[in-house]
Amino acid sequence: MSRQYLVGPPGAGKTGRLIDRLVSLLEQNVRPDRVLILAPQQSQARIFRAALARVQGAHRPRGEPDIHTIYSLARQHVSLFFPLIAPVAGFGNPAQEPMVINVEAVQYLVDRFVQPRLADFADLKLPRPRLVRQIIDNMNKASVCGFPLDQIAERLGAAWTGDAQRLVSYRRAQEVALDFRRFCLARSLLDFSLLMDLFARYLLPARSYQDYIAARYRHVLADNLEENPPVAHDFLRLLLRTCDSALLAEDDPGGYRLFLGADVESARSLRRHCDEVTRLDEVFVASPAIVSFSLALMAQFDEQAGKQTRPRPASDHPLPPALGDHPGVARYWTEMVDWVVEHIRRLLAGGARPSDIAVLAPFVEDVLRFELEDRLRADGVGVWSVRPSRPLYDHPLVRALVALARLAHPHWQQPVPAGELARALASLIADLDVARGQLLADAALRAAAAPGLPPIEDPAVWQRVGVRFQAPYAALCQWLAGWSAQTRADPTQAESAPLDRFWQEVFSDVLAHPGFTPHVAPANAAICDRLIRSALAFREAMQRAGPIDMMPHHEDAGVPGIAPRPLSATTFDPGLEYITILSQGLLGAQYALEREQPAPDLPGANDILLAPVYTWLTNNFRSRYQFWLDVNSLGWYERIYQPLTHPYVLSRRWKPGAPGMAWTEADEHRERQAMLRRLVGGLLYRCSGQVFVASSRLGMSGQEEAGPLERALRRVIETA
Amino acid sequence: MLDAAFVFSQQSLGDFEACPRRFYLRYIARLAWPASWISGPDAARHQARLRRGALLHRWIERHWLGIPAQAPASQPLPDGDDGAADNLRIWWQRFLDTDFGDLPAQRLPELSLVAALGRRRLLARFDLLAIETAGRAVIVDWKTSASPTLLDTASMRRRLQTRVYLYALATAGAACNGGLPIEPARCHLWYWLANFPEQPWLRIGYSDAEYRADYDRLLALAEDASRRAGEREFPLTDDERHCASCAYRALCRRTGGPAGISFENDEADQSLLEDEAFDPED
Repeated sequence: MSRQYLVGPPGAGKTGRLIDRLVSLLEQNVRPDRVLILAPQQSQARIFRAALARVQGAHRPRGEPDIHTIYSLARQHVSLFFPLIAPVAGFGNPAQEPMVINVEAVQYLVDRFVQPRLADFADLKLPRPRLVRQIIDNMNKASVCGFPLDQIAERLGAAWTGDAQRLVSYRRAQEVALDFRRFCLARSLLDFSLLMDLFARYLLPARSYQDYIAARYRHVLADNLEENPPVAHDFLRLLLRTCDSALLAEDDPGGYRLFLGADVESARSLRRHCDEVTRLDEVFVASPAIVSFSLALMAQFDEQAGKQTRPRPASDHPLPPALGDHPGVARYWTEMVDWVVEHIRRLLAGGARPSDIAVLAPFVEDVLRFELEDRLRADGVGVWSVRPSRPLYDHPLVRALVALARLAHPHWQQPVPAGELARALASLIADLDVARGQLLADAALRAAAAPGLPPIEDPAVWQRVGVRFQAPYAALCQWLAGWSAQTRADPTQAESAPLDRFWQEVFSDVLAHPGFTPHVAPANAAICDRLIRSALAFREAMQRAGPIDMMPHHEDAGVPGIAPRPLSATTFDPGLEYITILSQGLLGAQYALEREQPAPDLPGANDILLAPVYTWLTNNFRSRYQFWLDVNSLGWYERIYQPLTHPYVLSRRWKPGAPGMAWTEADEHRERQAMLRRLVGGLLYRCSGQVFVASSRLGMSGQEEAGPLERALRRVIETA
Repeated sequence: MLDAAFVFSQQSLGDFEACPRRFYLRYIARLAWPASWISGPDAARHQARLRRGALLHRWIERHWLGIPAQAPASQPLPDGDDGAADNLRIWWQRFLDTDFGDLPAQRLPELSLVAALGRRRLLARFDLLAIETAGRAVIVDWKTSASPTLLDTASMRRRLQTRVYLYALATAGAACNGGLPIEPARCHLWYWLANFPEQPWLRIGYSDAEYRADYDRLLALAEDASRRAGEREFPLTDDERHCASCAYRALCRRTGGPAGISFENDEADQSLLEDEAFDPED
């Protein structure tokens, strides 16, 4: 068998070939645990697990191949080999078992290092959570590219051509990263960057580890190499030396996970270590019309292409068959949504299923989801959205659980305002709307003699609100009173019942029961589950981290809508810390419910998919019909403003110190064009039916935009 | 309806046997339900105990792979259980003191086998498989529970884990035996009991007759679970004792009475060491 490298557009059958190879290996009686499958993310790993069901006949008895992402593999192997690498990697106590910490804990801890240095970053005018995330991004990129943290400022500085103050910010950001790294090494805490750094710089070069993987993995299958960072390619390069067979696949166009260090050039360097490179050009997903439209549109972003063409109104010329209709051009954003909904209705009337349809935009705000849901509800069509950057705190149930925690922990001195209590009650009690929740909240605040949720005895209130809500309210109220009494009577109870357990117990004892939202709509329980897991992982990380400092975050008082941390706080309470960072939006939605694809045959499995463009691509979705929204938005083209980090400069191919390594406007333009080219290509090759494009002259916030995608679309349509 | 790619395990078959509705909620509806069946300090102690078990498994895996083991004496260990953090050190020492000379020479730690079960598949994840060509194949399972049930051979022989492991080895063992099947008579399951130094091993053999009986029983369970569709066809259990340690009991409007920590719920859970962090790639 050979080492083969496949390259081709999405939908050319590469994954199918990998699956065929897997089945073939098992049918040849290869020991299954000697096969490694490397996928860029867990959702793609599932494809291979499902394929195992295809193995038939006498070969059905078998074991289980190792199916990993590079992160899950690194994590497992670093944990296993930790005693070998800890003594040489700078750990304060190499004998202490490592603890992998979650992103919440990392954000919190980095934030604590940033806090005293905020003035150093004042000129950047960045909200603190974004500042923290960019410092973490830098650490992560350094680790997956294989360079040490103390090169970050040098690399960024060498590429910077503006104000010298930025160089100071780079150095300060690097100092925070290095302080955080020392902190983790002293406590055997492994954040993503340290874990990947251990993997890249200590485990991969270790002879005993190389022997282990050489013996363990005799056959290698890797999909979407271009979405992996260089450290994954380093690992594969090692295996290519020793394995019996390898089949590696690259999507072209691809490389969308740039923000996580994906490196197409690094992936392609593996071709040199393969016996054969096979180009697959025939596609099985996109129709010929879509392919030709894709090629024409991608060509628009090649250097100098199409610059001389003057666009004319879209309706003047024939429609390319890849497009479902002429571009929808509205004056107002809501009219654009109307246009989209109207076309969705037509598709459904023509026999399409909702799950055939994806609505894609550079950014997906709550209001877009709401507007789509609201308009499509009458048609009995739901919307399933995937928005990884949505803050966890945006979920109404999460806010409600936070409100309950504040009520139950009066010593936090975070009173719950009436409006917040009203929304919390409406989220928790089944069928209670916010208006009636407000009546209850007002009555509760009138009746409150002490912190907490008081009983409401006034029959007039229940007459207005509805008697059926009395029992669930009373149950909640009694439970909270019982909890408070218990913790007052036994101060140790507060310590032995931290926030995650508070939430778990209020869920078990109250919210899981009839009369409450999770009971009548169990899918809502998932968000509670995520929150509890997140809080638990945070607490455990904080226990290992130990006291950091006892100073309150004075500046929290200046965050609008966020209850300030009490200045009297003298002890470290992980629950309070967690609530604070959660309500500041520091935590992303890695734990949020809506990323979960509904299980087949369950409600929601046949909904329309709504997603940001990059999320849809990185999840490798396929859709028969695509709606591209806001095609005139610069969001399709521009990178988010990230003054402290840089995906191209913090990559392996960027050589600091080399002549001409300053990052110029021309570099930026070239990379944006190249990315937009890959982006439209990636979308179209994953479309088996038609594309609908829409824009509004005035965006959601009333701004006018004229991005390059709309211009390119016009040129392609004009020459169709 | 159960997904065609679904792989059964001792856990899922056990859930189906205990309560079809629990099986439906957990594996078909995939309903995340964060209720706990124990509360207060008991929950913390239980969690710490499971974590210590998981850590012992990791150390043992390293031992078999030839990776130098930690020096447990110098480590801070998971606490929260009546000062029982020392248990881990004691277990580890007992492990080091155990004579494994009876085990076949080839040792494969943390090995997974997937065995055919009719049209379905059955996963078994062994702590250790010790195997010799044309000789015995011994599954070893490290047990850190202090439940006296572990000493009851008849009960342990009936246990679903025992039946699933031995069936999987006899059915799918060829995958790690150079393609040669392992006859039931050569299959063994040894439980190593960390809390019972006077009787550290409980050994269970296998036979053709038991293999056939296991096949019938496991297949019947898997087929029964597979042919049902919709929540209604997965009724609540009639035996409400199963509800005592079930997280879904409030959803099902069951009380289940006070929950004790049974032996079945006291297993080391490797996922406790693995599922704490955010995978930024996912």
